[in-house]
Amino acid sequence: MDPEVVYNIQAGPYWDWRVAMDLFLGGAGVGAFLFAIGLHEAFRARYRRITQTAAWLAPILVIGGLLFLLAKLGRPMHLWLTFTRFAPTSPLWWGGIFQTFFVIGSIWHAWKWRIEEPDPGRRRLGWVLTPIAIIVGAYHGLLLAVVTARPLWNTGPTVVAALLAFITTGIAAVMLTHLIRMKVSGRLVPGEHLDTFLTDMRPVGNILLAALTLQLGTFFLWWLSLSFGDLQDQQALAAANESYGTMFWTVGIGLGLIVPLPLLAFITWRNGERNRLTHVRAILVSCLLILIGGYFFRLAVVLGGQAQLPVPTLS
Amino acid sequence: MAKKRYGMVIDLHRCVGCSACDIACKTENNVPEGFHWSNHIIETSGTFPNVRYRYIPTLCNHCEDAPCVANCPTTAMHKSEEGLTLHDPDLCIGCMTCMVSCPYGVIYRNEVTPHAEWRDESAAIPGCTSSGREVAAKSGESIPNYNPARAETYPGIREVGLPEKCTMCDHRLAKGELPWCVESCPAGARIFGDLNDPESPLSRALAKHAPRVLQKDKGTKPKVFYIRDY
Repeated sequence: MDPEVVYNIQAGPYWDWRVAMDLFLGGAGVGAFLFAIGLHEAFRARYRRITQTAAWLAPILVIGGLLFLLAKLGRPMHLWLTFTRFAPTSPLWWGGIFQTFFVIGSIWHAWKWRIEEPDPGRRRLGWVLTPIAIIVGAYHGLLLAVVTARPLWNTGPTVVAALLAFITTGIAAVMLTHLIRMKVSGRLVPGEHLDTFLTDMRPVGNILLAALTLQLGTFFLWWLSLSFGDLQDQQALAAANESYGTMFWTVGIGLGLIVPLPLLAFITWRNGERNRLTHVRAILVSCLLILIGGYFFRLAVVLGGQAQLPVPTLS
Repeated sequence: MAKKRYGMVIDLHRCVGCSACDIACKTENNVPEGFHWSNHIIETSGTFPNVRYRYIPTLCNHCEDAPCVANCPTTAMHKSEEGLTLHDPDLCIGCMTCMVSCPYGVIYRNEVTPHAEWRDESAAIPGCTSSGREVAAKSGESIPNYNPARAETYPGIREVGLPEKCTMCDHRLAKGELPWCVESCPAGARIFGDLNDPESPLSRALAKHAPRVLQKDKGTKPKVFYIRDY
């Protein structure tokens, strides 16, 4: 008979959907910012509107994520203490510092996008903020990866998955918002402008496809490292799968990665005559699925990582 | 003279599994219902007639490399000069990073205002028994058996939204007294002392027996050691 262990501790999860929302929105915000920088570098002023959408979306999403995190804090009004204390071993402390720089800088950067003329200062600011954005994106994975008490989180693929997720969800959030913006302003009509836009967005489709494929590969590596890891790794995977497996595999991987992959491949790689509006609808659906999957994958990981594991004893 | 470095040995051979330590801790530290600064693991194994029962008292391990301290963004969780892992509520933002970081499940969070049962106005048997609120009012304190000494180094009753944990009775240590769980153990199973003093009963017990710690593989270097077996 297997030993039966009873240990009454406070039931989790201690971090809930609000933390997952912070990780999701924060990551998407960073992705949106890097997309804005990339678009501007690739096309300069040609896609001013979408770059503008991306630039504004970045701080809005990160601030949105921080608001969810604040809602989870026991004493949100004391958050300022993070800036008066020195805690270099804490990823949350570093995250707080860098996110503050990023939010202020990205608002400034977005504000500079209100003017039509090329602004060298805006470009320089974008380059200064780029490494900070990457650090903030990595922080959203490191926050979980450094927790040695949680074997599901304490892996290398956790950080890689977070980095890739900020690329996919960031681009998806920008594309979705921009297409909605085009629809609202009556610019989403078949014509030369839409044709050029869809053609120019092909590299973006390729980036998304590459990131989604890499993300799928990272999840496989994550699964492998836990499945063939030590006993605690295997127990953590089993416990997370038992409670949140459906959310992770069906919504996070299935809807968020596997369904958008062929859809995006079809849109990006198909040559010849196309129905432009069907094309746009496919982009909308793909982006929506990437966002839904991106959130639920994080929720499943945040909650699954806190699933109750068999209590190790002295034996 | 070297600085003091506190630790505890739990002699499982002496322990009788009476939970006196758990109850003593509750009363000394005004610990709310459902929270267990002092706790225990019960392990049963085997098939009749070859069965085994094991009782392992637990508490904050006051780890040398405490992950709750390393990951705290405000240094609210910190190490004292004597190696105790302490929580400063004035610096805490209630992010619960300490709770997710602790592999031992010894940190508790006040999701609601603690000791709600002593503000409850309903009686178990209406018209016959007193309500929690009436009992607390009769005691003259916010909760019956409130220990004001706890408040000397840590809030007597902790705030909603914040975590709380074992302090190794730092308010008693400051007066040269032993932690109350050590004093209250009827079997003398707990030995508290200075790990830096080779002549302390603690160091002698560690030298005599092969000490073990919980979840050694986590690399946290716990300062609560277990010797012999239940």
